[in-house]
Amino acid sequence: MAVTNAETGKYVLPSDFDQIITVTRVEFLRNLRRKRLLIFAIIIALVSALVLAVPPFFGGYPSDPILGPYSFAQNFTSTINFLIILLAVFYGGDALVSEFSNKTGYAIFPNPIRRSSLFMGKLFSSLLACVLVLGAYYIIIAASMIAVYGTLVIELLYSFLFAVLYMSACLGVAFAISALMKSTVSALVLTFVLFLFVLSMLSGILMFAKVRAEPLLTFQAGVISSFLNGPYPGFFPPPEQSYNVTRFDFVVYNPTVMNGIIVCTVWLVVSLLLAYVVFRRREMLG
Amino acid sequence: MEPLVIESLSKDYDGFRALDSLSLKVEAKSCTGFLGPNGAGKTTTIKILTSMLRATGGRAFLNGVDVTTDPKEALARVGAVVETPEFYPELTPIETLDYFARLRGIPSDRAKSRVMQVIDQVKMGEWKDQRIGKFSKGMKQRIAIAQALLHEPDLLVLDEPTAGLDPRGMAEVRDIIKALRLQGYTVFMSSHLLFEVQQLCDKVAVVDKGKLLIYDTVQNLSTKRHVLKLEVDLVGKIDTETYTKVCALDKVNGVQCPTATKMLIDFDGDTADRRTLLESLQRLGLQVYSFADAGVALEEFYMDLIKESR
Ligand SMILES: Nc1ncnc2c1ncn2[C@@H]1O[C@H](COP(=O)(O)OP(=O)(O)O)[C@@H](O)[C@H]1O
Ligand SMILES: [Mg+2]
Repeated sequence: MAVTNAETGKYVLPSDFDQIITVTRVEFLRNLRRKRLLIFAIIIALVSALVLAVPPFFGGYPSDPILGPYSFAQNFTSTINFLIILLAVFYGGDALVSEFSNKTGYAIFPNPIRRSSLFMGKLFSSLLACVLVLGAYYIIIAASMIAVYGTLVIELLYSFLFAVLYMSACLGVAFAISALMKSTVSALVLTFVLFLFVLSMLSGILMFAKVRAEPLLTFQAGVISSFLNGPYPGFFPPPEQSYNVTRFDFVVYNPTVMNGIIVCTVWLVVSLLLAYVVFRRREMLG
Repeated sequence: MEPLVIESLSKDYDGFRALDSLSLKVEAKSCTGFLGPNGAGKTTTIKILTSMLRATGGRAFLNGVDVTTDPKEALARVGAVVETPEFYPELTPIETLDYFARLRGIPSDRAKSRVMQVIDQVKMGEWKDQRIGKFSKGMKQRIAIAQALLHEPDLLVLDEPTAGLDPRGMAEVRDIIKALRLQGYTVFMSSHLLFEVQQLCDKVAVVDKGKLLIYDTVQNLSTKRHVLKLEVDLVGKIDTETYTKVCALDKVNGVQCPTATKMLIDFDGDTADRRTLLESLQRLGLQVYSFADAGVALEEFYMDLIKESR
């Protein structure tokens, strides 16, 4: 690759691809420096320690010869939706807005780089950080399973892959909010509130009204732990379970793998497109 | 080809016209001052040039490439300082400048020495490995200048480079700009201070309310524009009769006497006329011991220009 132009003796601009790699690296370094990775490492270490330490006091780990490892792993995934939402908030919420609200855009935007390359670099760096944290958590689960049961179930991989897809969709939504909001704090708060309250509450209300909350992103999070109900597909929970408890009957809706993949992908694509279009067109005002 | 060509650039903010069909060509190797009061549209212009704002109309060519359609190519050989930029607080000056060097395609072996060079140039060597998060505004401004120089650009665009600095910081930044001029950089800098433009620039474009009012050399503004004000100090007092005679002298537009031993003459002539004037004054019996450009005429001219556009 030529470094300088033969005629002008000036540096040749790197390709968009090279610049995306550069942005990804620097954004990742910033993530390391901000200690967020460290905090997430501590969080997953604490949660893992808790999940591993408590059962022995209450009769030991699940002992069923077939389902034991599954419900063991499922204990780890009971809090995973919260972990994923935290990841999306902290790696997506301020990724774009901070260039405008913190005025760092005044230094970055006059560079010969497309907004789209900045966007991609930031996205890749955030995805990488989130996948690392999530991957580390699943490695802990896998290692514990081997240590306790001497075996590893393939459904753990399915669960991980779906978790990555779901997390990417959540990150996409966080990026969209980040592109739209005026201040960093409001972007973080809105992302958090949207996932933890609005979407979750809507799911609850809809369930109560006996309506399937299929289009809601958070509804699909259930697939992550459903995979660990037992050998797939036989033990995967049915889409609908009716219960009748003393004159009061209610229905539990479970997400399905196929719809889960479709809904997460739609959220991912739509939110990233929105984030991209807004970020590319957004002006450095004020 | 001029490094900067602005063609009827306009910008509306929600219906408010901040920039009104502004056109300007900046010559290579010149230092052009973009002078105007607060709110004139200087930052708006510069933000469009640096792909931070989208123009409502018009085009702007940086080294021949239209920045409104191809910002990446257009900005390739431009260095810019807009407002007081912030930098990622978790990075050091070295890491920050290395990042920009990579984005601009400076190979890593050359980038290392060049980064050190510009850090020394803005006197930040002592701080090169500290996180920028705790830096003062003046220190960030130096990093901003350093990043603008990193790739030895063909054109430097500076938006009020001394604004918000303390007097020493201002003087240091002005010295840096003077040095850059000697090194042959083309500089386009905005300012709301006439004396700063006079001191640093050879050309001046006066802008107000988004319109270009005048574009000329700093030299021409004070001579060709007939706006010289001469300050004449006398030994002994001037009397009414002599005063009337001075007023009647060739190319004298008006005379004020702030004290009985001082005259301020509005003069409308070139250097030869000025010599004749001095001789005439002496012939009138006035004992002149000081005869100099009062330096306030351009200020008045500038104020008049702006007043007219209001
Ligand atoms: N984001 C904005 N929204 C609305 N009006 C703006 C905005 N930014 C600048 N303006 C207006 O545009 C005009 C020009 O502003 P600016 O370019 O910042 O002037 P200067 O840099 O010469 O002081 C001013 O009247 C200002 O109030
Ligand atoms: Mg300004």
